[in-house]
Amino acid sequence: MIYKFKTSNLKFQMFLLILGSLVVYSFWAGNAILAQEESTQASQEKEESIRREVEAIVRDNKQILGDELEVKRAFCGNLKSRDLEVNTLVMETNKRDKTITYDDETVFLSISRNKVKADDLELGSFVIAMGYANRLSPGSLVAKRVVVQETPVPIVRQSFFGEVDDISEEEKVFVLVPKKGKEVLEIIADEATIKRQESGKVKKAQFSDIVKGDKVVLVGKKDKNDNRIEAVLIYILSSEK
Amino acid sequence: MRREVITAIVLGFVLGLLITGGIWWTTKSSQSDVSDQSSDVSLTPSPSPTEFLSKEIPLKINEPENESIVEVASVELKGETLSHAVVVIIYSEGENIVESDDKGNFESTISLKGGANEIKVTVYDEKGDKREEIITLVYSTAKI
Repeated sequence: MIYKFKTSNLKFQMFLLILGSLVVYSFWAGNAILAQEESTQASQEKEESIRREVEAIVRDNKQILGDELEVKRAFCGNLKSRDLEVNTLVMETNKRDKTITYDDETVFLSISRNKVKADDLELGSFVIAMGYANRLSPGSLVAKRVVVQETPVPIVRQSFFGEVDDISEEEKVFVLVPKKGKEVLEIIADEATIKRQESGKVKKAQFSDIVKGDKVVLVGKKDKNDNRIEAVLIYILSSEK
Repeated sequence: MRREVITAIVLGFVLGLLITGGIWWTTKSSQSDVSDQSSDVSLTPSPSPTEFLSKEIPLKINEPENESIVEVASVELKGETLSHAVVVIIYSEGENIVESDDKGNFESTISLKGGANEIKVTVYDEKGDKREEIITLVYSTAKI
């Protein structure tokens, strides 16, 4: 009898123990879920509020931004194609093709500065289209003025960097050794302007100021012989270099 | 019997607290680990692939912008590159060689002819490596 009582009492205690645990855990879990829901709701409200503020700022500044994005631009290149039905010209420039749109107010000028029409423009001719472009679409322009011009002569002058080797004072010629792997150049400097930097200022110099071992940067054009350069400007770099 | 019931409830309550406390502590510590890891990621950004690839000499022409219309025959060209680099500017009407300052800024006055003007800007570093940019300016006084 005593044994039975103890056994049933033990079962009862276990039951109460588990029940108590479950009650506490349920209470805690319920509170946790409620807190999480409240925090999610609060963050959604905050997010919505921020979105409304950003939209308002964007709306207010849309006009200003639009004005700043529109810039005066000029595209130069050879006329590649034209579509008179949609008032569009395609121009071939150094880097890529550009699209020009025009309207009835766009002025077209021939090479002799006479007013012409869009369909008078010859394909392949060099044109300058001036108007407005949007920074977000830099490949197209709304033209106000399109001018035909002689194709510009490409710049043949180039720049060279290297170290001075042998010098001929008499002929005003010196040998320039560029970077490793490049061919040695003969520099003709009889008509060149020579400059050097002295105490932070650029000063005019003489041919006699160039000495073997100097590092120079120069501008010149290649002679018929590819290794001979007719220099127009020579810059002797400071000794620190 | 009444004493045993009270004991069971108290024990159950304590045990329940211990279990829930344990769960709460485990959850919290795992959350803080995740936030620590995420803050580590944000504080030490990994270098972008371009940082490894771009060993090119920097060169930016700030003024005037490429394809600008200029209404005067002489314009101040401004840009930025390496500090104390040699900058060569070649244009149809002439050429200039200048050095950039401590901050890498450089400027030079260039003269323009009417119409399209191509300007070639070349920067040399001390080893003789170079970077070149070409911009086109149009000198026109026509009203657009």
